[in-house]
Amino acid sequence: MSDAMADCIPLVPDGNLDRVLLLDGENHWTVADVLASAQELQQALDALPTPVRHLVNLAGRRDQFLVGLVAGILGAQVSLMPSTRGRGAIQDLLADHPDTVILHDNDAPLEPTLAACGPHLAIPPLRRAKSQGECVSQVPRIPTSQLIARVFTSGTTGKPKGHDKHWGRLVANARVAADALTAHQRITSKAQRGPLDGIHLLGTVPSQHMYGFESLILAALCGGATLSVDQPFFPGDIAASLAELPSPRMLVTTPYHLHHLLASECALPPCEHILCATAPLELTLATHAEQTLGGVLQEIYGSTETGQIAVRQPTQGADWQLMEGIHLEAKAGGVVIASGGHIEHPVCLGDCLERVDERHFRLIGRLANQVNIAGKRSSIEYLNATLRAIDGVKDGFFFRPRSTNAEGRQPERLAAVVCGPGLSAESIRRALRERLDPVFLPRPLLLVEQMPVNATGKVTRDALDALVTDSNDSDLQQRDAS
Amino acid sequence: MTESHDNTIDALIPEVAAELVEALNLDETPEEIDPDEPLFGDGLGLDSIDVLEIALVVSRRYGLNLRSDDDRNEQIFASLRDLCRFIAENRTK
Repeated sequence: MSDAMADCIPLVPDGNLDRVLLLDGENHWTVADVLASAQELQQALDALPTPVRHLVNLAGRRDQFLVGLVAGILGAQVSLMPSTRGRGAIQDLLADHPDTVILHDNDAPLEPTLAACGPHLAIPPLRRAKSQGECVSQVPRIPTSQLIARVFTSGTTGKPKGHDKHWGRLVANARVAADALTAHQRITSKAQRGPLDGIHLLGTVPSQHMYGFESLILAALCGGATLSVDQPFFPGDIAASLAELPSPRMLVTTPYHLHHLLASECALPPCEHILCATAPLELTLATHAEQTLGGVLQEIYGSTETGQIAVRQPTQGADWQLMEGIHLEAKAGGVVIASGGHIEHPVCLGDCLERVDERHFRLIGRLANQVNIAGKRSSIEYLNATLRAIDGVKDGFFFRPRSTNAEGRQPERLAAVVCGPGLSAESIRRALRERLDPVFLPRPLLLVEQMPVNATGKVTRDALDALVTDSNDSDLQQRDAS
Repeated sequence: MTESHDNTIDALIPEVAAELVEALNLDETPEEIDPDEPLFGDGLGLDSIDVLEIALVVSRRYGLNLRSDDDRNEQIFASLRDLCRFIAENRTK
């Protein structure tokens, strides 16, 4: 092996072209099939008049996303992964990366508003690789230093922040996560094909978000699992897709989806593994899920910036176990820095953690400025900056209202108070929808002529909260000017 | 459509509107929701998270399980009146 080759890792761990990567009902798709389709897409990208250096892969189906991702890896094009597909967000992304092509599912045209943003291509449907290496003779080896993806989070300045993900770190991320998940039942003979070999994954989370990217796409590619092409939405869909998969199954989901799945009382097949992330899971829900699905529920802790860094089984204990190579360091003011292992750069975590020992911690809560709604994260600063950037908005504040209804019904939405003379609540909502995930749209949105300021000229949370409470008590007709 | 069928839908509208306002924590009162206004986009402005909440309400109260592969979904969620029509025609409780 030459020195140059030593810094490469194959696209799939065992280099096996015939391994089944994707399941679509009765159809089994192998590594070779995905590579053949990815090559076809790469040729189409190559044929474009100007060189393409970035892709925005908006595919909804897993097979389509994977073909788009692998095409990008083959052509050294970076997959840009925005946190929302609002027109404004995509436009901003393309303005910063002018050499980008938008990729979308082939079974439906791209929405006209997005199609107008820039060049776009439909991802070709999966097709069988021609027998014996006519177009795919071996699994490609990818340089560990190759930039694969740039995943975006809310920054603090009103502009999304990109986090670069390189191949070597992504593979390491997928491997340590898969090892951590299977630690209680490791089968060494399977290690070569990936720790998740034999497990059939079904996910309710998008492939473009870091959790779905790691726990579905990378778990299949680098971890050895087989992935269902479905992204079920309604509880009835999840039940049907699960039932279609062979055992053992792993459901990759969020507390939000899990809550709805169990509340729906749909008949569910046994599911040996349940994976949950994006927001803390209540112990009662974890217990209920294990009893109903007859499996082990594991929870992942991570962030877009760090990738997945810790795991726990809530019914066995509250402490989180750090994945291999990851270190935490407590700084003054309750800030915790995560580094080591597959983490690209040391990262200041957005949560309040308490270290138990070198390898374990307890999650106390999120930092005051962080928001998490139905598993989607943002920060108050980012939301405020987005609100204030709207034409005609003089000032505006997002906040978590205290006076939400008592049952803690989820998801709790944010409220906003806006001073924007001449603007209607509807026009502000429409502008926000262009740049924010819809879960962050304020409910309620109050229009005021003047911001409530205290004696020192500051707008306080209490004053904003009082506005919402007052408006709840007053005539509802007057509240929403639209 | 028969007249009695339309009456059934009209009778469901305030009930389902009240369920939506409560489940989705909406700014509007049930009476403020225009039964023919779009539920999504520039109408009531609901999102996919809301759809799951609606699905839960509909399954618990009316014994109906929604599915994505149902081609009627766009029609079902077009407006409050359409949602009520779907419930009236398919409810099991």
